[in-house]
Amino acid sequence: MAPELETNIDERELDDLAIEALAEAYAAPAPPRLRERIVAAVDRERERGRSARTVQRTRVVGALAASLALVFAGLFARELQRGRESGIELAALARQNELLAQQNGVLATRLDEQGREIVEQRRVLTGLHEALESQSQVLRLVGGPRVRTATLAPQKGVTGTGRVLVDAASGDAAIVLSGLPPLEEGKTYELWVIRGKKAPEPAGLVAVSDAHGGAVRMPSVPRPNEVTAFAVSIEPRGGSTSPTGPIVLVGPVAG
Amino acid sequence: MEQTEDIDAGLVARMALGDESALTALYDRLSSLAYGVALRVAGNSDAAEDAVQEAFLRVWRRADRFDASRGRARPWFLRLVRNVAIDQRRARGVRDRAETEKILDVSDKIPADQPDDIASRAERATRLRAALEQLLPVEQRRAIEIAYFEGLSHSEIAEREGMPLGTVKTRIRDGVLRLRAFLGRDGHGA
Repeated sequence: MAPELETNIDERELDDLAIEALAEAYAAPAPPRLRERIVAAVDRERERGRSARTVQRTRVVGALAASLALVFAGLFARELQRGRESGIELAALARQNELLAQQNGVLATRLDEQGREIVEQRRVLTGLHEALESQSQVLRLVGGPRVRTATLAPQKGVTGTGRVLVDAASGDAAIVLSGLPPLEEGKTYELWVIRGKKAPEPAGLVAVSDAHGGAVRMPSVPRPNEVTAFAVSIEPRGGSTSPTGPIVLVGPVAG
Repeated sequence: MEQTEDIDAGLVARMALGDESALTALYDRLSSLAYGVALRVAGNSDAAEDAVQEAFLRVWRRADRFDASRGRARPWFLRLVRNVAIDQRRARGVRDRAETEKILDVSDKIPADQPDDIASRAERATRLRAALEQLLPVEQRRAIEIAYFEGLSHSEIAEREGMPLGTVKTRIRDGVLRLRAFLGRDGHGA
């Protein structure tokens, strides 16, 4: 009698059942060598896997080593390049330093020149300042209420004129020369104060350039009210205590 | 059945970890079933050995792909053996039916000095085949064997046997259910 069939069974279970049942029904002992064949095949499979892994590891290690070599080579090349660049930079810096040194030399020369110019300019400025001061004093003197003047006339054979201004109270004095020739080396014009019949008194030296015009401040004249005349003579450089050279200008004090 | 399945699945799991002793243990448990299936499909012993070897190698390589939640290990492995054998047979393009028929009587091939479990399995196989012949009509048994040993779909069987598709499906299903009922009554465990 056929067994009662179940119908509420899924296809998967039926499939499993069928393949197992058929396998059981047709089971056959495998040849003994098959077991050894399979074990040997699995061993070869494992060995290949190990070899493949070894090769893979070798490749990985090799790749890492190659990468490291490349990295180190790159670093070395970079350092080498840096060294070369440093050398080039040092040479460039040396050239630059040389240029700078040359420029410094030029600048130092210019600085020296400018220093000298500054000194000269200071000297000129000082001279101008003194001249300005002198002119200011002369102007104050000219505009003063008690100024006395002496017009200096040329002596025979002499060209040029002069005027002396003196403050009657303070004795401040100034001289204006015009037309006098420049003197030879070692000579100078010297102003003299004359008080009546007394011997001329030195009143200061007048530079040659001063003789070409403009008021020149002179040393203060003691007792200006007693002065009767002024004279200019040519004296040795440094002046004299009494006239030794020719009198070129002379004139009485007016006022 | 459950205990048996646990053992097979456990062995596959151990193989996934590279345990070669699990492979030999699984071989000892399933080789006669696998070889029987392969022999039935391949038609000759050399091809059957090749199929079984290839199936065990594939299990060794792919043991980690076995998912116990999707089915039991034994039918999974037996289907793999069958599929490998079918593929190899198709690759060869030849099937020696005569040899197949000759070797189907496996009881003759059991050596006298085989271990008891193998002899016992051979005896059980003989009884199962006898049951198949008694339980299932020839056409039903033939449909089942074509489906499971030749790998043809129900449509292909219907076309080849010249019968309606529904008839093929019914024959196979009824035949498998009868087989299942017999196994349950007879105390056989796969």
